[in-house]
Amino acid sequence: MQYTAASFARPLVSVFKSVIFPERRVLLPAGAFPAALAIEEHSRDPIDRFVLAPAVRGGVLGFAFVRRATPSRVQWYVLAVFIALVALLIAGIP
Amino acid sequence: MRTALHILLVLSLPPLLTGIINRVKAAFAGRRGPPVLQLYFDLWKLMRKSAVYSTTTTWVFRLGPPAGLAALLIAALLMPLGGGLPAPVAFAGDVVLFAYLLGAARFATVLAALDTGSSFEGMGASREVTFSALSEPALFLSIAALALARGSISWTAVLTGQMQIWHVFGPALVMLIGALILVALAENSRIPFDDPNTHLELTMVHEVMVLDHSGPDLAMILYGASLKLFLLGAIVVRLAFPFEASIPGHVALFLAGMVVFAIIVGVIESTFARLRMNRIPQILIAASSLPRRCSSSTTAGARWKRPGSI
Repeated sequence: MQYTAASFARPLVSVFKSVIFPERRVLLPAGAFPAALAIEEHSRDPIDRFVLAPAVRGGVLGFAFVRRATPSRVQWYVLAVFIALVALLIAGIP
Repeated sequence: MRTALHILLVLSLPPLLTGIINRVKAAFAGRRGPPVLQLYFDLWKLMRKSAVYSTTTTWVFRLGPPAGLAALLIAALLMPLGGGLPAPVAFAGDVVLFAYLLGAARFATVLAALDTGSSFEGMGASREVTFSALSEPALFLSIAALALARGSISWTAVLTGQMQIWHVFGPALVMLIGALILVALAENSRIPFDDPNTHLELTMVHEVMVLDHSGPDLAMILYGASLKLFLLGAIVVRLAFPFEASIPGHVALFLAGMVVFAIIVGVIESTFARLRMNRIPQILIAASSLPRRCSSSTTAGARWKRPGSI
């Protein structure tokens, strides 16, 4: 069987290429006696690619920042809680 | 009795439809053409022959034609031929099952084509699923528009006694019939989407998938193709000729409608050139837009009419 999943789906993917954005890598034959040529195409789910993957990446970055910003010693936690309480008290004073 | 008559009509008439289309095409070309009953003769001849199987094929290839025909025969049981001849099997949601049975039949044919291991048949299978993926939305949207207009998702309710909805949704139904004719032509690989008589390898779509079949298997495929055309034609006829009468009169009216449908298909095939391959998706997407407009107008109409009055 010479048909791969990508080549089987290619006519349909080409109709919806403006929505699916297939990734295509082509190694064209060069010179009089080309030694190699290759073509590779992947059609990943656009929702995965453009919505879920960036959202997960953003989430991971955000939580990594929070983790870095979190102090590692208990005394710093207590100080942070104290500062937060003072800030709240000041904000609460009419 | 009515069920028996329904089954008899659905089983015996489909090859006649193909014969009429071929006669119309022959008349347009100035030929005498094959007899109207030619497909019956062909089926009889093929059924008496034995099938030849390539050594590269497996049981998937042998299963393809009977599985495809079985799916279409079950779909035929869901199709009413009018008020006097309701579908032998009817339930809420049978319209969806009908569409998926057509899909299952195609899936069986595609699997059998891929099982041959021929890249040529793979090419045809790839094209077939591409075009059907584009024609299915048109079919589903047509079904949705009809279901909205009739307030039911069963063929028997949708295609029975719809004289009243012509008064309310007439223009929308004309668009819907246009879309369904395009779906019928695309699903059955007729001109302008595909040419059932072509033997040019690079232009074939459906026909290329069935090249390796022979004998009774080929007979099942040919009969299945004519049955599919008959079923989609029956939807168009029931929508376009929504007349009801007593059984003998109704059967005559329905048959007359089917003959007119076959003549229209024959005229389209004779007067249109085959579309270029890259034009077909555009036409099919246009066919999908017709029932979409129709469904918006039927929704508006249903809102305008009092509930329960349609």
